[in-house]
Amino acid sequence: MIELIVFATLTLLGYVFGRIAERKHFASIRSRESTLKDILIFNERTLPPGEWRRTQLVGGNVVISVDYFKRLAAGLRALFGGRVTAYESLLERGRREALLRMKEEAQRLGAAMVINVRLETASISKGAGDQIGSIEVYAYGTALGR
Amino acid sequence: MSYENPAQREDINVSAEHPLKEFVSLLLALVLIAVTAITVLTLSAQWLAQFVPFSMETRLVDTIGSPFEYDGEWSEEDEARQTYLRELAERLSPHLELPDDMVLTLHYDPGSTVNAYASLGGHLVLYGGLLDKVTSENALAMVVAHEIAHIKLRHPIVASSRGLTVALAVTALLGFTDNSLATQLVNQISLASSLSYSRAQERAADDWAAKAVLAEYGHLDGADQLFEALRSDSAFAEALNQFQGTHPAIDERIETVRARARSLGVQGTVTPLPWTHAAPPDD
Repeated sequence: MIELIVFATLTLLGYVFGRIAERKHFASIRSRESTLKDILIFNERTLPPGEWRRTQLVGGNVVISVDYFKRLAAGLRALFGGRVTAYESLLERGRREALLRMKEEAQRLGAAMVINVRLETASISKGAGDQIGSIEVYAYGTALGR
Repeated sequence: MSYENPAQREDINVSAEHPLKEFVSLLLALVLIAVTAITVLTLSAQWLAQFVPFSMETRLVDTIGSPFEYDGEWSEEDEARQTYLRELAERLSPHLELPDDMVLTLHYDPGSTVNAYASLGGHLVLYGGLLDKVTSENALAMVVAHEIAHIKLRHPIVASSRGLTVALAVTALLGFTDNSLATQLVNQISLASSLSYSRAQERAADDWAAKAVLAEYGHLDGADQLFEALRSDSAFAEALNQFQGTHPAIDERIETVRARARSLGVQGTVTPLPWTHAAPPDD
């Protein structure tokens, strides 16, 4: 019985705080994306036409924890199959946040564009049994400055 | 070639559906599957239980010990009552056509509880509280035969199988190694009066009991006296209300016995109990 109460509490906490965190995060992502929209990013490897004087590696990295509710929802989904929407939004946040941090770095260097952008995703504490995992997303690319 | 980064649509990677909606529908589906699975398992276990040899049931009970033995103060009167009850059970059992390998053990418990129950391994327990309510041997025979009928029909093992299956399935499903659940599991086989039988099982036991009482005494007069006494006992009636789900309503049981007696059209004298020697009240 105690286990059941703990379990229900964790799920409720996960849902409430996870939902608040996700909403806030998306709002912050949207506003920062619009502020940084002048720094263009592409995954092309070749230099676009123009006079480029500086190139430099820039990167942004983010780690986000899975909350208890998401983990449970994904676990349920694993029984039936289909889109794991709980993790889809988590990874979307990770990718966009990592790209934003990379852009912030590029902006700090006065770059106008980042090319050859790559994304790496890793799951932290993968295979560590019952642990609530975290995801890491790393975005990196070549910043170009005039 | 122009280079630009237009704003992306938000709904491509993130589902607009509320996360709780998905969660609840999946959870309901899972609960439905679990309930179906447990029901099927329980029904199969209940059905299979009747094929468990009685000797195996007895061995199972013997490994647990003897929870039916009364270990409190024991007077000579209690001893006399137990002997009398055992003789009564012995006289009634042939009419119930018990299988050869079925051995009954009747225990008398001087406690004031108004109850009697049949449990695993052919054990019957009758409480002093119940005996105090009974005014004739015929009424007592009805109770004893009813409990023997439960054993004859293998109701205790069927009920235990049901309880055990549910407990096991829930434990397996929730993955709990919780102590309280483990205790409940043990309680399921601790055989106490908690074994509950279905209405149909109670009716079947009543049927056999009436048959046995009729065969023994030649009539059914006085057989409903205990039900009558219990109906007018407020405390018991209250307790009985909680059992309404499984026990056929007491009015119904009285009516069934009376209807049977009426259809027989046989009248007879009621046998008094050895310790009262008083004529039972006429109703």
